[in-house]
Amino acid sequence: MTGPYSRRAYLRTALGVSALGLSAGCLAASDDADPELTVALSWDVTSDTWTTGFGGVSPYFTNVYETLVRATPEMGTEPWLATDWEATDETTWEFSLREDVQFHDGEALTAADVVSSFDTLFERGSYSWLHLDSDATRALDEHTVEFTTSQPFPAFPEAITHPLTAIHRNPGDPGAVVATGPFAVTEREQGTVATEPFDSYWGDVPTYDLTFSVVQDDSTRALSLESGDADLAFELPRSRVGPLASEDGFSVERSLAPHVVYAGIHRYSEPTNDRRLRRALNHAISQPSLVDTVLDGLGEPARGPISPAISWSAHDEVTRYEYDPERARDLVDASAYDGETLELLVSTDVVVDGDLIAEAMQAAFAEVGVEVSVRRTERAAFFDEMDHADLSLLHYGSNNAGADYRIYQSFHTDGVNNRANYERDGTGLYNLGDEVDALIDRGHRSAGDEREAAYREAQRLIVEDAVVLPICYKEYAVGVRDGVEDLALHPIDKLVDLSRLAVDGGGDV
Amino acid sequence: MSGRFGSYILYRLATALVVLAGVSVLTFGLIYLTPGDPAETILIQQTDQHPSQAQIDAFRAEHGLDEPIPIQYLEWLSSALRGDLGQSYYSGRDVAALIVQHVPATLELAAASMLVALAIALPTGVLSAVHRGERLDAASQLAALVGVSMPNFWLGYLLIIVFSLHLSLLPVAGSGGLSHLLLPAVALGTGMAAIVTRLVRTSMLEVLDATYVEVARSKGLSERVVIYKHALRNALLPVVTVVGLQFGFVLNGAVVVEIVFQRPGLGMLLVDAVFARDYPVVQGVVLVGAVAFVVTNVLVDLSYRYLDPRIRLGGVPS
Repeated sequence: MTGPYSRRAYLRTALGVSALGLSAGCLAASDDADPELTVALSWDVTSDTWTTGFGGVSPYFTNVYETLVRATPEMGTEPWLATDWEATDETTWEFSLREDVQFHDGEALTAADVVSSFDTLFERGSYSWLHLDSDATRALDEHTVEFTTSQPFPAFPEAITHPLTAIHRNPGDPGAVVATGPFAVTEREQGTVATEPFDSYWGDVPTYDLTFSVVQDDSTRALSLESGDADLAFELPRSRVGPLASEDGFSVERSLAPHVVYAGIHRYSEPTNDRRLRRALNHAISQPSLVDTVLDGLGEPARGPISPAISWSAHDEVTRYEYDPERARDLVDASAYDGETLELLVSTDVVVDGDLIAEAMQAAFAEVGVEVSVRRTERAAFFDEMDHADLSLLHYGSNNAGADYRIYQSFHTDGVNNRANYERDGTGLYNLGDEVDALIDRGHRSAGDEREAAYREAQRLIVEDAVVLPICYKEYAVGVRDGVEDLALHPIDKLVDLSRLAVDGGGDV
Repeated sequence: MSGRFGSYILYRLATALVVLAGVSVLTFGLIYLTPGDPAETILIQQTDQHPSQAQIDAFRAEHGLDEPIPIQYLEWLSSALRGDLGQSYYSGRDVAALIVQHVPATLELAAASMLVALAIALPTGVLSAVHRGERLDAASQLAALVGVSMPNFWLGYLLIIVFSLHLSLLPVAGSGGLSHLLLPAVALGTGMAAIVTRLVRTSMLEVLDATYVEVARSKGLSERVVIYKHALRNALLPVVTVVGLQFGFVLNGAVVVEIVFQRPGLGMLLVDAVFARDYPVVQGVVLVGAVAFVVTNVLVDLSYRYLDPRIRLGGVPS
């Protein structure tokens, strides 16, 4: 078994196997009643089980698992497993369930399943953004559930559009996937999840099988689509968006996400505690040219810390820091900045292409006389170190329609981004203090216009104080093979509905 | 002879244990010196929010991270000696089960890439030596230089573009059969082939000048027999050593190649665990890697006896 002979034999076998595989694939496609679509995901949905991992935060789960309330593409709410709901007092909610819903194992959906799903969630961890205590869910009758929030929280229905709150059954096997969605899992192995249409689905039953294929490497994921191994590829890398869009046989769908990339500027350490310096840094950056050049146009230039995909974003109202190096230099001169080197913390695990963005910022700051060193780290170290960095490049967004937790966590004094520094030094990090805290609290406790007004005012103050340097609102791209039509993206990429695609011939479909 | 062989084995086992203990202390120390808290990293991913101090404290208490580091190490060590490598902080699964689940993909890749490397290197190295100074030699030297200079992730993409995209012969990524194995094996094996080719060439050149080769030729044996039976066998000794040591290189390269080709192997498990600060998984995988490395080295030593009967195993303290 040496040399050319074994190599030839090996190649022959390999080619034979692939030829067999290809023909088997074609046969399967032509004989099978249900065509098959393959979706390449960046996220390993197979490494977790519902009880231990991310469960829910991925397109795989949202097409298999469903929530009581669904986030609409406009980031509002619509009834889903719950037909309607009402607040019976300031902290109590009653949700009525659909009565025609079955789980993938044939059992009917009842209020007890909702209670056990939330119980499972709270066994895993604490979700303060739900404002629910662990025993705050109870079944009033077979199809009515009551939730008690720990404080008045009118946006509760919006909060539970988060895919983590999906309803499922866990019949003892933590790896089992038993939910109510339009697709039921038939096989789940490392890196691949095969599903088929769920015939007893309460809505329109899909007409094709769906396979989720995990391809974490960005370039390989794009190549899977181009080679025909996948029919859709999520999270296309920016370098492939343009070429794929102009290539025959493919299209690229893009959607603004409720996520933003911004640099948080330490408000309480010298010299960035001087607002003139923070404003100078804001005037030093041209977001449109940064998005065009560094991000190949994938994203929208940002002005505030909340993406316009979220209903109460104040993007159009906040102070505009036009790109003005002259003004920036004047502000630097007037500030307490004395030539010291500021540290810009960045992690490409936190912000995709964060290193490139940071380098562009570094060059722009140098133009206005501010020295910045870029400190690269990886995700785990990043969150340890951001408490001390002068600037940290952050990526935040919301996976539910309400997004209340986003502004609270980042800018409220008790928000997790600020609390450690507040408790240790009495300061915080990006929190402005009482006035903004009160506005955020009011937003949290009110509904409708009052809520929006409070959050918008908070954003105006945050941007005016220049405690953030907004870079871009995130846009994500999905590559689609020709023959797959009607893909309607959702601002939250984890909520894209893959059950209503129009599929015709070609490839393995 | 057998007594001496037995004590040699014991000696190697004892040194292997010292090496493994050293590796485990180093890994343990290094992870704890690395900034980044597993509690925070893992809780952010699981709950979609930054954890509060109370949550972090609870996580640390649950996983024994609030103990002093030496105590944590001793607890880990005593469990590991009983075969219990602990549970993943992230998924809660047994580390041993995770490793068992991921080992086959990596072993397949390692074996296949070594096969690819040897299949390229042996004939090329021999031909290069036999045709020393000729065009064939220069071409093979150049090919080896190119091979060793190509980063394996880049070669991986190149192979995908040619064989999956343009020729549609093989799948882009994943695991499952020979068709999934071929491209990663070539991507990983090529770099090693380049190194081994040069080694085979050098080693063959030395051997071809030896007296016994002259003698074999003067006996009228065909050049083919002289080269493959007499010269190559003797030239293989250093090659075996290097191929054995290359096992470490294979594991190292597997990390990158597994990510490019989305093969769920140990490399991918390790990288994910390092980024998530999933200490028990990092410890477990590194330990298994170290065991594999040590065992391979012992096997390499033992194989000398069979390749060259003149070698007697020594180095055993009397």
